[in-house]
Amino acid sequence: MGEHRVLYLVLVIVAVGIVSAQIGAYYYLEKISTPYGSTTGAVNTLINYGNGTLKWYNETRIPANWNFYNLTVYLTGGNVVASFNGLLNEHYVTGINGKENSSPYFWTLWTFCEKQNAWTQAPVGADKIFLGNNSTLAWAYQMPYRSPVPGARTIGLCS
Amino acid sequence: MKVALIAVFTAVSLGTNYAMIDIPNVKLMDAFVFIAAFLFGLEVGLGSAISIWLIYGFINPWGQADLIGLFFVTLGECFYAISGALLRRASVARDAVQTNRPYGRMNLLFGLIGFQATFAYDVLTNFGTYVVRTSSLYQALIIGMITGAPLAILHEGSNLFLFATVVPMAIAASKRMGLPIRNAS
Repeated sequence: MGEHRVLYLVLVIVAVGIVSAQIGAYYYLEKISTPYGSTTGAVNTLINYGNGTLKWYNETRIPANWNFYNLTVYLTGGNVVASFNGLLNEHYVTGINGKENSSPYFWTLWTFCEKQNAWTQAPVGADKIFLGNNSTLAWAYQMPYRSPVPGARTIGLCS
Repeated sequence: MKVALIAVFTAVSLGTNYAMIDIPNVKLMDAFVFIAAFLFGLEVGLGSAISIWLIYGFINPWGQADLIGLFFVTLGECFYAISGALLRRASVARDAVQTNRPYGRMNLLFGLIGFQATFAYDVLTNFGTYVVRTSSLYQALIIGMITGAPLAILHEGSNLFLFATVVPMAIAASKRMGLPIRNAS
């Protein structure tokens, strides 16, 4: 190793840098995924069925410990098809109110950024979105990456 | 001969991928692509990487990859082949393999190289996920890194372990069998 000591040192330093960057990214993601804490409040939910049918559930009062998956199940009367991934501890939603994923159309999850007045695709699954007062979220059955509200602005990430 | 090697590495990679399908982002295929390139050359490594994703990208229980995503994961997989091919020419790898007590050095060297190749793969593929969804390349890079962090950490951690263990074992075994590290005919 003597001859290549510098190379090994560089590799280790780069690895430490990568670990730091990834931990920082993970920390930031955790921070932006739960911006509202555990306060009760009213939540606005949109379900866009992709055929021109948009249903709003406005100002739904929710318990403090509910996540958006819980709310979805409540709003649809349990009519949600989802598989649970034990490793990620999340549900993968494939059907809402009888409408199921059928390539290239999928259920996509969106959050509304108040500051930018635009929609963004949720960076995490519904189980990881904890609800706060006046938050607005949407499920949209679509070919991915289109706004859940036709014509509305979309952005990459809320700031 | 090269075609046969590509077929074998592709088959083994796909088999282990499907066997480990319930563990997201923990796969042996990256290590196999690296081994293919390190032992048999860049063409075998690249051929394996592309063949694997041509099949795995379409026949996948998690869903079919879109063409843009498929392009980026295939390109990213080639990083392992390029890393393996470059390392086989480097004196640091030759010294690590040929020393009388190779395991410590090989574990460290291949573990670190694999870890960094995996980071490059994750940055590229997470960028690719957002490149059509954001208004700038920089935004796609940053958002991809942030939102992809949990699975990237899992991927990089598992590959650090696999490259530090599986790859040295395979190379040491090939050395014991007398397999020369040169281009296959």
